[in-house]
Amino acid sequence: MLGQNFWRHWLEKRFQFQQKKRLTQKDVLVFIYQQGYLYLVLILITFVAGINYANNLILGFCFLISAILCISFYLTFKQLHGLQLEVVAQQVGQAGENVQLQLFFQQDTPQLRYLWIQVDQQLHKLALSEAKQQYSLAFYTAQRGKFHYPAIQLYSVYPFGLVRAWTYLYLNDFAWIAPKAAQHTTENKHNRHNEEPDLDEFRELRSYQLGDSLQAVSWKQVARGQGLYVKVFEQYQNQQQLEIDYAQMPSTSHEEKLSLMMGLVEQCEQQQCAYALYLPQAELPAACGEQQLQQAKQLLAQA
Amino acid sequence: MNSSIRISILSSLGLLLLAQLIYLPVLLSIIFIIILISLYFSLQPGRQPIAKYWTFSLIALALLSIYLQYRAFIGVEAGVAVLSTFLFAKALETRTRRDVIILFNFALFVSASSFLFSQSIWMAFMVILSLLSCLIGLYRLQTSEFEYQASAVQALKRDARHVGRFVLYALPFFVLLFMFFPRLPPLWHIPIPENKGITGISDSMSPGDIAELSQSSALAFRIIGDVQQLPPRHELYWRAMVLDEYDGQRWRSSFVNQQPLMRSDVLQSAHARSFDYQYLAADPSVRWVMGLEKSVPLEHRYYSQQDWGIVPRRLTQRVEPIPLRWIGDIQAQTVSNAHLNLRINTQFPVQQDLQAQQLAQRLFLHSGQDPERYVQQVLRWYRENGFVYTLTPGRLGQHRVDEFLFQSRQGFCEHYASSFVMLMRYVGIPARVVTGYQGGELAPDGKSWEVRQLDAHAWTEVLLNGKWQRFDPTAMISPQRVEQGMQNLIAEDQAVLGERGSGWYRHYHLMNKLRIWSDYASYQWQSKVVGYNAESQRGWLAKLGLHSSYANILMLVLTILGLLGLYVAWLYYQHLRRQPKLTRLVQAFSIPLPPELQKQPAETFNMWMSRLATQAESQQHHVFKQTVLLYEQMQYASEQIAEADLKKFKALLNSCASELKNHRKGLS
Repeated sequence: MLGQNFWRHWLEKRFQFQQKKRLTQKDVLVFIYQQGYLYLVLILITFVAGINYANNLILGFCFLISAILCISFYLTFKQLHGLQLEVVAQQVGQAGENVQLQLFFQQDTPQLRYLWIQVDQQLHKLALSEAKQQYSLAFYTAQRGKFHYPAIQLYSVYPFGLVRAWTYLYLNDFAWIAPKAAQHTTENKHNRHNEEPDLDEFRELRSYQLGDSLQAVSWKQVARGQGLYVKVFEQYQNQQQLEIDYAQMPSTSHEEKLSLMMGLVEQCEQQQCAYALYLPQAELPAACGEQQLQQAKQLLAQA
Repeated sequence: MNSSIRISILSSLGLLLLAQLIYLPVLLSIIFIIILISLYFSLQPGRQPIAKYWTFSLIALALLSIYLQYRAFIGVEAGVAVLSTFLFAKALETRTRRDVIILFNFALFVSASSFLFSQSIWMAFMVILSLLSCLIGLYRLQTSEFEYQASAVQALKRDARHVGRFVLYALPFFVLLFMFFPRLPPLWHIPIPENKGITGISDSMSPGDIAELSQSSALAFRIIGDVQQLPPRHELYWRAMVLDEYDGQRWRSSFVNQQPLMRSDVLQSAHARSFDYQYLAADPSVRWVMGLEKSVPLEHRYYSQQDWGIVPRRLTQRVEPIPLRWIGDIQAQTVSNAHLNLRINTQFPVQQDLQAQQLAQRLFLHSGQDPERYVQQVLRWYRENGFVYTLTPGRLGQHRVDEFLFQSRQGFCEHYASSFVMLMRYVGIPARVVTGYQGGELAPDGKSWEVRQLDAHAWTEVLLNGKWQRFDPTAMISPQRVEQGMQNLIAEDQAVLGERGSGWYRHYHLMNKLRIWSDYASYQWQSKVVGYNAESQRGWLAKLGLHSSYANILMLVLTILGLLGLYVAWLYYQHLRRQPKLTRLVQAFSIPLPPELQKQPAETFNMWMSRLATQAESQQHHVFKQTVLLYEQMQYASEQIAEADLKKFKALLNSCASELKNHRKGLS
């Protein structure tokens, strides 16, 4: 137990991964793998047979397969050596969904590499042939909170499966996992804004700017050939933004409260209505949009 | 299962079967072929695997056929056959990836063990092919995981190329290991069963046996050493054993002959004209070592018998030359059981061959009962009575000696030897038959002496004046046989062949030429590869001037390190070659400079050169500018860089370097 722990710590320290890395001699471990032991037995018995029957050719056969084993150490090592790796991790996710880990592989001179990626319970295979290649790993997250990306083991058993060369990527990256959204159905007084978007009143047309939503384009004007205009509405929410307060959530459990808040946030986002978050340790000023959603998610994850 | 894996399984098994085909019992080979065919169908995707009871009954039948052939499941040949059977059984029940891995590893082992059948070049070739096929299978198993729609044949071709390259990489290591790895003595003794189907001299003889043997031009053994020292051909009698018990039909060797000869006897009888040579049997399972009459073994693993035959203490499958010493024609000083010996060598079946007995008595009286004169008389009698030397003497009935001496008068050496010995014994002179080979031919390279089965011979020894003396009645009938050798005799006088005639001879002649060369090739293979042993290893090292017992380990380590060094150098060279020439030139310029003047990673060539220019005389700045200009021209030129430009650039860099050097000298 102690030994195992020590081993794990040592590995973690040894194979600490900071975003980008080029695999050198120090990073690649090589050893005999599974059927390699069978092959070793084969070498041993041919050796004994060669000696006992004083049969030079059996002995020669034994030497040839031993030499092939030695060469496979080198070939397997070459599969990982010199490979450049870059990992980009998704920062914020949501419980019940996947978070993505992007692996970018780069090699100076394109060479065929047959790699296996083992992470958690997943096993992926990847044949690299281009100078640059990308692969993404998805992790299912069930729990709200901080999600540490598991250590990745990258290995190759090419060419004969006798020897394995491998390396670990102990990632420092983690993702904040927002709670699963929950709807509160019985009491709906906080969802007043639901009927409100209909009350938005048209205020003016202004010329289209890059980045404006196509939904807001006044197609009537376009059809008349007057160019692209964007309809601007009187923003009712501006006066009456939604305040999502932790204390007011109709539940007693912490997790449930957060889930309800997440549900409200999602609703607001769907309806493009501004919202503010009030959590025991943090607050988020009212706003709407992708950035607001990410921040809200992160705060809810951290709560 | 992937079709490419299926192909490599079938090809590995097929090659193995082909390698072992001629050594396996016929029934077993047929069963293996059936298994291969059924595998071809059952391994196809979507097919049902072969039913269990079919597998079991095929394997049971295979084992039965092995038992019928060898009467055992252990022992060398039966063992290999059983291993192959298990391999095919495993192939029949292969389902998963794991099974396939085990199958290939097992097939590798069976290929290696095929060398127990034979160590010929042909076998080595087949085993290497099946090794490659198994490796391709293992490789395919790994890479097929990653591909989805490559055609099986194409994928196999590519894999064969890759595997071939890997084996090529491994080859130097293999050669070093083979040459320098210490050859250890056997870990435990493995019994080698008596071989039944050997050609060559056997331990008994009946008339016709040797004639039959003489129709084969197969190599019997080879003598390695200073061939010039061999006595003339008519004295080349290669002795196998003495046959002294005759029952009217067969000659056998009595137990007295098989007693070991005291070593002290042999050593005391040193001879002035002795010389050492080596004996290499073509078939290692032949029990007798046919030394030149008379020779003694120099190795303790062999001993001389009372009849001067040489036999191993323990049967081995070793195909190594046996060192022998020829000590000339001497007699053992103490004949043990002299009385018994005398009795055995004068016995004859009294009721048989009465006519011959009468002839013996008559001739003995004629020669005044003097044994020496009697021997000459008998030989003269043979010469004068129209005897014919022929390979096809015809069959003889109950009274063999009579029928031969007075009716057929056609015979081969064993007839003459046998009847001659009987004529001696009828008058109480001790005599015996000796079998072995006579003559031989120089090998194509002139460095060894080949003795073939057709040189098989039988002659006689007569005890005269207390000494066993050699008499060869065949020499009386056909002096050519002894003077020029059997091969020449057949070539010149086809009458020897008898009824078989010239058709056979033409065939024989062609085959003989081929045979001599193929024997020579296999001799080289045997002596250089198969027979490579501790001694040859020591010889190698001694040539390199190393005599220590750790020398081969040292050599092994050193050469492997050297090889690794070579690999590294080669990789570095490859790495260099991949860089453009321009970069290489710049690097060659940069490296000898002091560190502060070397190109910094962030610097462009232009910046670097300007910096260097400040380190040189100001009137020389134009050289640096020129260099930059040319560099940029070449670097950004759209077409291929001209050789002339590169030369010019190199010259400019050189002058830059000398400027920098001069300036630094000036400062210090």
